[in-house]
Amino acid sequence: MKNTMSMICRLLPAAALFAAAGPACADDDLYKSGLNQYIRLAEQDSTDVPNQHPATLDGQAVSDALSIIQVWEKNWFKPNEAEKVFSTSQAQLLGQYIALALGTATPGQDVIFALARTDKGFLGMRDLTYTSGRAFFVNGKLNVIIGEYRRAPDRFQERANSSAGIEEVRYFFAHGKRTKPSDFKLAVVSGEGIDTRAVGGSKRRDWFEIDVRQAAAALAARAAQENQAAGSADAEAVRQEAARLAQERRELRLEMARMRRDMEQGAGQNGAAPATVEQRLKSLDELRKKGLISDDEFARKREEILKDL
Amino acid sequence: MKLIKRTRLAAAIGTAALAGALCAPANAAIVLGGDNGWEVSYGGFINLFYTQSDFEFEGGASEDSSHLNEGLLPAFHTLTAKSPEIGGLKGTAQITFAPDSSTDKRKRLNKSGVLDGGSEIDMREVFFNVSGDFGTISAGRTLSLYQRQAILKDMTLFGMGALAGPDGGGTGLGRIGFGYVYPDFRTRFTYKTPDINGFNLEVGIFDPQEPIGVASNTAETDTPQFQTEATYTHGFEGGSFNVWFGLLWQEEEITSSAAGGTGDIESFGWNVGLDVKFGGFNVVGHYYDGEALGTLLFNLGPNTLDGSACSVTDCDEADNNGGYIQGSYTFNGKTKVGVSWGGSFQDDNTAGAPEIDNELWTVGVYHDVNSWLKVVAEYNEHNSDFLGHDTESFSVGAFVLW
Repeated sequence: MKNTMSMICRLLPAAALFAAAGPACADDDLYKSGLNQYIRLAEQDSTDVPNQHPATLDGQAVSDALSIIQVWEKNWFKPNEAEKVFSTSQAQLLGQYIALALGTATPGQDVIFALARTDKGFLGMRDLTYTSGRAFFVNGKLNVIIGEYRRAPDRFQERANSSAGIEEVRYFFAHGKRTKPSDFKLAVVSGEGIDTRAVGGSKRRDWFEIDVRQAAAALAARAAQENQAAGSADAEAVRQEAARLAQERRELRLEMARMRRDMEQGAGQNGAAPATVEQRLKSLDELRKKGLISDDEFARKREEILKDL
Repeated sequence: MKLIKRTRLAAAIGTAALAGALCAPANAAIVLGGDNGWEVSYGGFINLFYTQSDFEFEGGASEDSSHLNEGLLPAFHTLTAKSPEIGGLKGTAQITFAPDSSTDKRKRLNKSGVLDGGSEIDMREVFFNVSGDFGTISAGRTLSLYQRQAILKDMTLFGMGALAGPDGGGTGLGRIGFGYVYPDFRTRFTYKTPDINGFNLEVGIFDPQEPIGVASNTAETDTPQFQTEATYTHGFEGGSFNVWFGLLWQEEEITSSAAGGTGDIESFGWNVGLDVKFGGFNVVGHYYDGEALGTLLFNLGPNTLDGSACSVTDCDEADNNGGYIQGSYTFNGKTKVGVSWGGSFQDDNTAGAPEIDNELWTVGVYHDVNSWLKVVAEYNEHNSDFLGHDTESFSVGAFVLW
């Protein structure tokens, strides 16, 4: 034991010095999951054309618009099959957070993101990929530039690290640039409010210009068409379901508006909305009434909120 | 009704998204999840190489060898259970067993024995983690901290590297003893900070090691071994860099030795490394220094004159150092071509530890056919005082991952 204290004295100062050299603890993410998924505000990559920020967008409408962006995927097995650029969950997350962020962003800020999706691969195995890019509002349209599309992780390195006590491998993603096209070369299915940016007489396939209202309306029209095709026997049920969904949509919009308001009040706090205990309990109660959370979840969350008193 | 069901699902996902409930993806291919939030996954890989080698032994003898054997990595089979987050705490439990796919050429029995040198199941990982906003506390056995970044960033990790002998079973050596000391899978308690914008610090107490191959009452370790690792990762336009720094300390008292001497052996080592990626280019550099660290495996001790030695009067630490430099370029994100050089060295001392010089050149091509199949071709040339031979080898092999 006689050398233990001398050893501690040798180890700790070096570790402390290294720690001191590290960056300060700061977190500007609007959304973060693990090391490699995030949505955050960042400076514009090019300041030639200022954004029209802050912009008021409806989160669900942005999600709907993103969910209908498709590209033609041509390969030996899938000739002429259209593929969604964003998975359902990616579109939902992006839509909500883009609307939230652009509501407070300055003209010099973009939203940058990297999100994962999982598809079924060989023999039913999970095939995980990442898509990254940037979003901003200009010329009355939502613009999205794809930086990296469906980038595959280094699964061999991840497996080796995972079996060495290291849970995640950190990746760094390109978020696309206004001044230079990325490697995203797939042909986009245009129309219904979705188009690609024209630059110097040619189209930038990696740069989507989205008329959010038109795209969301197109999705609603598609829904109505499909509902009509579902047959007259279901018509009443369809109407009721549509009315219920519309009601839910309105409530979600109100919730988004509240979050946006709270975010503005709590600027500088990471986008976290500082709500009172009473507001939080009311929100929780609404979620339960809508059947979006179970009684158990309600009880657990309620207890957590009451602990803040 | 089809569309309505889909839209309802989307709305539900949207609500979950508002709550920030998209889980971080598990890196295993096969994942089973229960409604109660528990997730169990199974992942791993198996590899096998064909190796043609030419050994020149000390004293002038030589041997050519054709051998089917594993690369640096054995077959890994990893089972992981992850808990739901409750009260801000997440739990993970993991075991990894590593069966060998090859055996010693002189033994054909597929079971463990004195000369089989492989074919047994090596239980490498048995640990659990408890994580929260405070960081991660880990308990059990997994790869140790000291110099682990060096082995994980070594391109021979998915290749063969140096060979211990012409006929043996088990794995290749990679750069173990030719650029870093094997971190080993050692039992420990560790604490790791949360990720702070790319910075992490992990510290832990580890089960100390006593000299290999001697009776249990010839050495005493009454304090744990200490290890720490700090890493910082940062991205820049078109690339990223990762730096790491690590420390190790252990004290043991040799109470009896073949030469007659006794005394304290204090192991202390530091290591530093840099990994820079820019476009398809990647450069890795690693250096370590210290005393009583050993050459291949951590301080084997006076019995092997590796890391430390005992004379008739006392015991003394030997100075050890080493490192490697590696450059590679990856074409189309799938084919990596790399070259590396490195070595591990020991200075002689008055207690009888010999001077050791191990050096290895490696040239390799590593191609990902798809997300689960990798094929490898590698040329290695090493000279080793520790192993007692100079060797040239060429290996081709493949990994299947799930």
